[in-house]
Amino acid sequence: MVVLVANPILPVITVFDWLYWKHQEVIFLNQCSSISLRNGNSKINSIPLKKVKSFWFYQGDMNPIYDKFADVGIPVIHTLQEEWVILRNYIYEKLTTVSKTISSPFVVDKINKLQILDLVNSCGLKIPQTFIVTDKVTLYSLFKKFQKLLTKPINETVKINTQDTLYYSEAVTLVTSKYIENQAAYFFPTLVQEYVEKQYELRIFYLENRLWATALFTQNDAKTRINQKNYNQDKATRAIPFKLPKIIENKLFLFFKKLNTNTGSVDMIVTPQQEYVFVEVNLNGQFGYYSDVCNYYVEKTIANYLI
Amino acid sequence: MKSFKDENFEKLPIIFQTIKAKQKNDNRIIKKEGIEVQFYSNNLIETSTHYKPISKIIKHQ
Repeated sequence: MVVLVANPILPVITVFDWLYWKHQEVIFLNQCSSISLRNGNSKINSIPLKKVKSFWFYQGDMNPIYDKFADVGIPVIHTLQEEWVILRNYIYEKLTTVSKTISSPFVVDKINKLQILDLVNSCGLKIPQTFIVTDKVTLYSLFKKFQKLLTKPINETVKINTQDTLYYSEAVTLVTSKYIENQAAYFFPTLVQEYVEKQYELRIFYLENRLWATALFTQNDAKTRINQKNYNQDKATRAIPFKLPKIIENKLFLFFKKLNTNTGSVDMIVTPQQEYVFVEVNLNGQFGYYSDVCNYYVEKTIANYLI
Repeated sequence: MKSFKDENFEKLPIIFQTIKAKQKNDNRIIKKEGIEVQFYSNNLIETSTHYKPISKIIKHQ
């Protein structure tokens, strides 16, 4: 039996379809309605854990159905959430030790963008010069030095939900002099990076010592120049299969080994001087679009790994 | 919530200057084969349960 804790988006459904085609029993465990943990006979949603032979953790999480307990009040719900985290981690520990797994909830939980940059550096890959600034004077001096600076959240894109409105920020933006003027003399710690000129960008999916790379010609379109994810709906970014130099492949293998995960998606930049610069890793990164346009059949490889 | 233009705005990380607001609207929810599926404008779906029926639903959209 294959267990998925995954957001059922199209590439996940395609993996499911490959598994189904190969006569595999597949269960999604995104919601837990019943749990029974006993020595040697643990069950979740009536599924015996000892029957699980592989586990894929991707863009989702296992949750109890909190709606059932909504009437107990928010403070109690917070206490229940703390209880749940302990139980969730215990179940994940069971799933990741008794079965073949893709990704680890524990690695995803503790990922830290700043630590990742240190780790990348230690593997011999180039990264953009990165700074955390808290005052306007330092920010101005960096702006003068680099001419072009980027800023992005230290963690994830800002998303603030209110009852009727969603407030959201850009994932990355160029720092302009107007932005700097608007800042107070001292402000909350802010991440800024040197802007690296691109010839093209790379999206690289990693699974168990294999890499699939796609080159994206984001510089052909003003909309995608700073952030490829600002998709131009009228004109798709040109994407082609790409063969990485062996030396870069080996450094990425080392990086994933040190990160202690068997999957992830890396964004890189190739500069006009042919330097390879690491931008970020996403352990739940997308692969479906690139698998599709490059005929990589990554979904089939994932399914085969899980069997 | 205020529109992020109160007196403390300038003390936030710079990325907050790019904040945009989007009014929430009701996303389409359908029920099929006992499973509630929510569709979003970016083609993502969310479901309380799982597997084959979802695959069927996607193919029938």
